[in-house]
Amino acid sequence: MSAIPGSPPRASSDVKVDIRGLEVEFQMRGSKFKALDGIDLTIRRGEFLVIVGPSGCGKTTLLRVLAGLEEASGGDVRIFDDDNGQRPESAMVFQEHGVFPWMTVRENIAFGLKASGMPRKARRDIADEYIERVGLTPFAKAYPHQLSGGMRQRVSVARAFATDAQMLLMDEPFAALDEQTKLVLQELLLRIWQETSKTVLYVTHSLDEALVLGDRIVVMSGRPGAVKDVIDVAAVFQRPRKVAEVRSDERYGSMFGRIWGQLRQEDEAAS
Amino acid sequence: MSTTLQDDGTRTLREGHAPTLKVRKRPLNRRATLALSIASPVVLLLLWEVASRSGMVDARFFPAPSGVFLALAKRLTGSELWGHIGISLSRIVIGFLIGAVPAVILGLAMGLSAVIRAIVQPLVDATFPVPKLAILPLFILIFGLGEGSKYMVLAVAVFFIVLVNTAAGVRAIDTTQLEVGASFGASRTIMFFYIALPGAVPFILSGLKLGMNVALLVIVAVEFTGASSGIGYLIWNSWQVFKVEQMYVGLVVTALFGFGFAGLFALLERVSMPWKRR
Ligand SMILES: Nc1ncnc2c1ncn2[C@@H]1O[C@H](COP(=O)(O)OP(=O)(O)O)[C@@H](O)[C@H]1O
Ligand SMILES: [Mg+2]
Repeated sequence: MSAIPGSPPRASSDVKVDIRGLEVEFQMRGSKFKALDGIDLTIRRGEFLVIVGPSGCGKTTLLRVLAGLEEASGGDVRIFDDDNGQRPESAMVFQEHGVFPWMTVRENIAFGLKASGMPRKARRDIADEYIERVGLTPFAKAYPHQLSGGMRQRVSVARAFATDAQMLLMDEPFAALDEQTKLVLQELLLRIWQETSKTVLYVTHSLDEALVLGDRIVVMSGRPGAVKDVIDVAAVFQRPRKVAEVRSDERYGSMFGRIWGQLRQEDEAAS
Repeated sequence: MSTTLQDDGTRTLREGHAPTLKVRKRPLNRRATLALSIASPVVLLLLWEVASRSGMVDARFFPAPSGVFLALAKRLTGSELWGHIGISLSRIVIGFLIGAVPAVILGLAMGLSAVIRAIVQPLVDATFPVPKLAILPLFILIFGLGEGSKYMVLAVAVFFIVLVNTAAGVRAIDTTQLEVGASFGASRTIMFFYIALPGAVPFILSGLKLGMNVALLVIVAVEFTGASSGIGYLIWNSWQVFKVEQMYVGLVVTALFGFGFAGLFALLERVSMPWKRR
């Protein structure tokens, strides 16, 4: 993450992340290729931003850059602190295999706190609070193999929220779950998010999920990845939301159609 | 999906022709498994007993199991056999520890650090194929004829197998899990003790198990010629003086060592991996 020396600060109180001309290059058998090319995006503080786009367009790469797991090869990414770096910058929720099989539910959820050096007692109290919030209290001492896929994702979500990170980076966290479980977890996520006012970046390939969860939807195009459109959902579906209500709203269909149109152009361009 | 091999040797995959192989997934129940695993050696021993007593096999080379067990029982009341057992066990345990402890540490470091891997891997690749017993004479030169050279041969044999398994264990950890650590800003210490080590435990344990088997193999071979004590010596010496029954006693004891270590590691697995599906 680099700042251009001498460039004027673009910070304003409601900007959380400012991305200008972001490029990420990968080496593939000697040759280079651009996974992301010229991404411009402003993420607002406290918003729920959903990223959709065809598979391989660089959604995961974008999140990984923000998490510090991937180096940008060009451009400028600025992350503005909420409160002088008191809280961790970000916490990530992975699609699968994100929970440690060798830790109990409680240990998994406390892991982020342990990594940030919090003492044992405080760690345990916060972990237990989040275990309760995601409804896993009876399973505090269970190991992941004793849980269903949905319960494991609850653990992942709770672990990320427990760190009180300023920004949550979620990479298709519910994609592998069945519809019913997904619905329950979406509601749960919205509820916790509403209580904590964190900035959320949520990657999905489901348009439905994007419409139900997001304040804004970023539609990406692939090869190389770039931002194609940004759709304001918050203006249409007010908070607090219920997943089922959004789906039955008459404007749901037209919004769906608009994003689908964008993505279909993508598909045709690719094929 | 099924595979058909054509005349020209190319394979084609056809969709929709799944072979209807019926696999019995449900394991035998515990009692049946136990009964069968007790019955099979018992039956074998009975056959042997009959064959030996009836003269179907040469009783000088294949003494009846009952005779062997009687001889074993008699020797267990004296102190000589216990002495051999004690000395072999201490050689195994000491040699094993000298080899295994640094191997686990270095193996974890290799798994986590590309730099350390780049330094150590070529050395391992170059020396791994050397049969470990072949370096015994060298070690006798260096460490003398006493216990030192025996510990070291064992240690070297154990070291390699544990090292290779441990490093593989860290590499086998899901990259997502290492990234979870990194994304939460975990320190090196936390990455090491809370992710790399527990994540690699299944491989480390199987490495230790293999290492223990190798240690048993090597110690017996070392004691055949380079020792005047220990179970290997007992077997070799019995052969030289043609005390076949006593030789069998030595064999039974080494087998019991094997069982004992296997049981020990099964226990260790249970204790160190409460999170494993069973
Ligand atoms: N570490 C890597 N090395 C080489 N190529 C990569 C790497 N990570 C991702 N890619 C490539 O970058 C592109 C974008 O990947 P990704 O961000 O995972 O896409 P998405 O999450 O949108 O499906 C893909 O073509 C992928 O193959
Ligand atoms: Mg992805």
